[in-house]
Amino acid sequence: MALKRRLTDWRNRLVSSAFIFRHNRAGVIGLVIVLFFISMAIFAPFIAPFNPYERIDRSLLPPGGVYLLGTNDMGQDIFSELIWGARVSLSIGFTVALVVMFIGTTVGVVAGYTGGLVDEVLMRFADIILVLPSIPLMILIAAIMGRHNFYVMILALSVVGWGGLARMVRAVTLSLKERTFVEAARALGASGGHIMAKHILPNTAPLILSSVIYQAVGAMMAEAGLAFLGLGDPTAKSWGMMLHYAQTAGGWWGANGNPMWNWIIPPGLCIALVVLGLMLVGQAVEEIVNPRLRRRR
Amino acid sequence: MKAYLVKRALSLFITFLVVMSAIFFLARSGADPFAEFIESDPRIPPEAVERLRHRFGLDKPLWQQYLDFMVSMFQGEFGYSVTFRRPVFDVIMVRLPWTLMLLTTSIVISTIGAVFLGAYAAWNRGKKIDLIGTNISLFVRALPHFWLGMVFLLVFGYYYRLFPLYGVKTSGIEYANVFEQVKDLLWHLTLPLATLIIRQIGMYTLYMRGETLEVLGEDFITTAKAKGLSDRTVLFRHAVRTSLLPMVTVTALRFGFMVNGAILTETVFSLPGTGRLIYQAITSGDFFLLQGAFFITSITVLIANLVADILYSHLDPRVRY
Amino acid sequence: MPLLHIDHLKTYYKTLRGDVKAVDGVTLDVEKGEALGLAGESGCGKTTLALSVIRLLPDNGRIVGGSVFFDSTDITKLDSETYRKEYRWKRMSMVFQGAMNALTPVYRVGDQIAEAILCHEEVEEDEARGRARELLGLVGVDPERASSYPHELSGGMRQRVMIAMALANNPEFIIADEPITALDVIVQAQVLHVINDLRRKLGLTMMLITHDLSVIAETCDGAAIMYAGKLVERGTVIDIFKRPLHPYTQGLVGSFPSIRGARKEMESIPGSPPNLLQPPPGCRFHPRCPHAMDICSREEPPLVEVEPGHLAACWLCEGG
Repeated sequence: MALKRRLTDWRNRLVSSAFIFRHNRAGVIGLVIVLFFISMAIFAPFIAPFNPYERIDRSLLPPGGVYLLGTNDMGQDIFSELIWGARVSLSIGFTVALVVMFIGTTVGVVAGYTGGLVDEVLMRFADIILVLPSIPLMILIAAIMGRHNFYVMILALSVVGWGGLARMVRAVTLSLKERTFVEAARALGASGGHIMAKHILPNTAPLILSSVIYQAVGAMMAEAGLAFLGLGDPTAKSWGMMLHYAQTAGGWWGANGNPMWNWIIPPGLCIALVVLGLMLVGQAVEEIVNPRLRRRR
Repeated sequence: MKAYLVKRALSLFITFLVVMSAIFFLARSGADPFAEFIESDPRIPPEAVERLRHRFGLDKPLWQQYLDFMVSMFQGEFGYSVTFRRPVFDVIMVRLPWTLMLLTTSIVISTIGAVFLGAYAAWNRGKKIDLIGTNISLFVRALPHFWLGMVFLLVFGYYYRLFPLYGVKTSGIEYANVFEQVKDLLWHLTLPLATLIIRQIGMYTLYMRGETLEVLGEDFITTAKAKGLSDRTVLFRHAVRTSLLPMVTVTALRFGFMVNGAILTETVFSLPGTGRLIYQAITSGDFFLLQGAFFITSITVLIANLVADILYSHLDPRVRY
Repeated sequence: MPLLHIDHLKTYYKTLRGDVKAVDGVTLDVEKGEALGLAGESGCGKTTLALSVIRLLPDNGRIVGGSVFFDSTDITKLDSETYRKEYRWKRMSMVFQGAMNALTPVYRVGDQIAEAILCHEEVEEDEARGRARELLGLVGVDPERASSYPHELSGGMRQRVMIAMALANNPEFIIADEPITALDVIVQAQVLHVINDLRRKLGLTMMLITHDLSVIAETCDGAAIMYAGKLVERGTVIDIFKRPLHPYTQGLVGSFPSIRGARKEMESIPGSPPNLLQPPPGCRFHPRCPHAMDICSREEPPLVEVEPGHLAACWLCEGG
């Protein structure tokens, strides 16, 4: 009975959320952009005309003809690189967002609910993460791990990303802790773990959901920066990595001393568009989660 | 207020100690950095390596190394840069002023810009100018720092040839006077600064707008209007002045973020700052240099935070704990 | 000619669901030197009426009809700059409800009072500060408190500061909107005493807005009752309390044991006020009225002078 009521409750919330979302034109546009790039990532092998990891022609060819955006210093098709790049950039972005969500939520709920010394220590760490510049920190982590690959990348990006979310979840937990339903559960003798998992966590869910989108944005931006500095996974081409090679291996001088806009502009534009799309979706979700923001339009 | 500042300074100092300890232990728990970067260099004979190991105290027990490490860090002895063949401290000190200049200039200009634009947008909420402004800000926020720099370089450097392509001074030039020198410097720094400033304005205009909107809904704004104050006075003396408080906090947090921007921007425009130094340290595997640069960066960011705290306690009379 | 003459004023709020008719054709006079109490349930439009007079409606609110004459000038027709410079705070000022947040947190209270003086008068800053201190003394706050920040003052003191601020430019007319609602009972009495005292000393004309009838009984000469955006009754305090004509007023007053009796919130009338998006036709009170007749749901009763100075809008009175 209670389950059924909860289900209908969730369904109603979903329906009304969808209603609000549909009326947020910017959110819909954002969703379209994001879906466009997601399908690009999924269907990369079918869309890309060439294998981006294979030399197919002379280096640094200008755009046009068979190679829509020309070729890079290794004689690889830039357009195909771009399409495959969606895979790397998006998968890193979303994976990190999930990991950060996990760490941030756990730390936030535990710190907020337990309080005392645990809270103090965890939040001090969150502050350190928040205050320090993330790129040197990530470089340090990568340097210590001794190699750069997908997993090191995920680790570095996650380590620098969880601070803000943890602080936010902690704040919500602190206010939830004082609410009657939590006090009732405590009075009934529920354990701390049970209360955190069953009573507090579900109530922070909407907030976490909207912030995950921003986490993905942050992760994608950070990945791009790190890859641009040459610290990406060398076996997987992301957009940031493309820009790294454009910067260091011929994008500025090309085959005849002229810069290659066809190599420099498209990867950054893709990053910007995905990020813009995600931010628009994030804003729309935020408005659903936090009605107070609706006044801000 | 004093107690508050002491408390903040103490907490920042602890933060700093934790960071430094983390660097030390993480670094030593991995491979011996010395072995990786020095012993593998065939140009250095084995006796010299032993001598160097002794000189840098790498033959001592770990706890001793830790203490030595902390002490030497605070004394500015960051070790020896193998790439520059000079003490790390000297290498960093030559470059630090450039980065600090880049950071402070862009933070000051972008904060002022964001405050005015954000307040203006909030005052005109829902009007055309607000919609255009917020949408532009949103778009600018989505642009990666370094790519924005690359686009500027491409368009204004290569295509229109309005600005130089790299560095901070025209090579081989003899300045006739200080004025010429400053002019040349500004000419070189226009694009890097524009990159940092535009990006930051984009990010913080939206933030300022949100804060100002919040404040404009407060009762004291109604009181200020009721007193018969002009719109400008209400907006700036009452609303903006109050929304500055959260802006100061964000500016402090931003400093760390701006260091990222500086690293990327300095790399794009080949500027001789600490940001680019970090990049060079990575690419050449110069561990002591990286460690030293990281130390300086952390210190700078933490000092910036302390400054923000002091500023905050001056701006907000409610800070008394 | 009364000092304030509100003539068929209509103020609506634009919302996504349509116009909220918060004030819908209110006519009301305030004589020079009178203290008028304006009462009604929350949401009946009394604050909107005040904000229309002082022209501080929120962005979505606007005056759609009628006029407000202040000293024979229609202030709704003045351009906003003239109004701001010549009238607002100089000739009429307002004490807001809930002084918790009504003072800017980052400035000293003395400076905030001085700011109002400097805005309207050509005086030196020092003189303005001096006057701010005098004003604080006048409302019973230690003048040394001029250099305190709002958060350092108690709720009662902040409300007194608000009153001092309202007096800064020697206005002829003061609107006080729920001036004591957010305060403790004892502090309420003190602040009310300050208001009473000042009114006598300075000969102020005042409009006191409250949902608490006992406050009006203690402070005012005249009383006006609003219901759902309409004025339903207007008279002297004696008229309203001794011979209430409108059934709504009777309901309100009925909950009072006596004029000087204990305070009591107005909760005695069954039902709830109507939705002002679509107010009921005819008399707006008819769905809750114990004496409702056929005509009440069809036609709106006019405001008529039943006895000299005592007006009511009810079909019962219309008949005699």
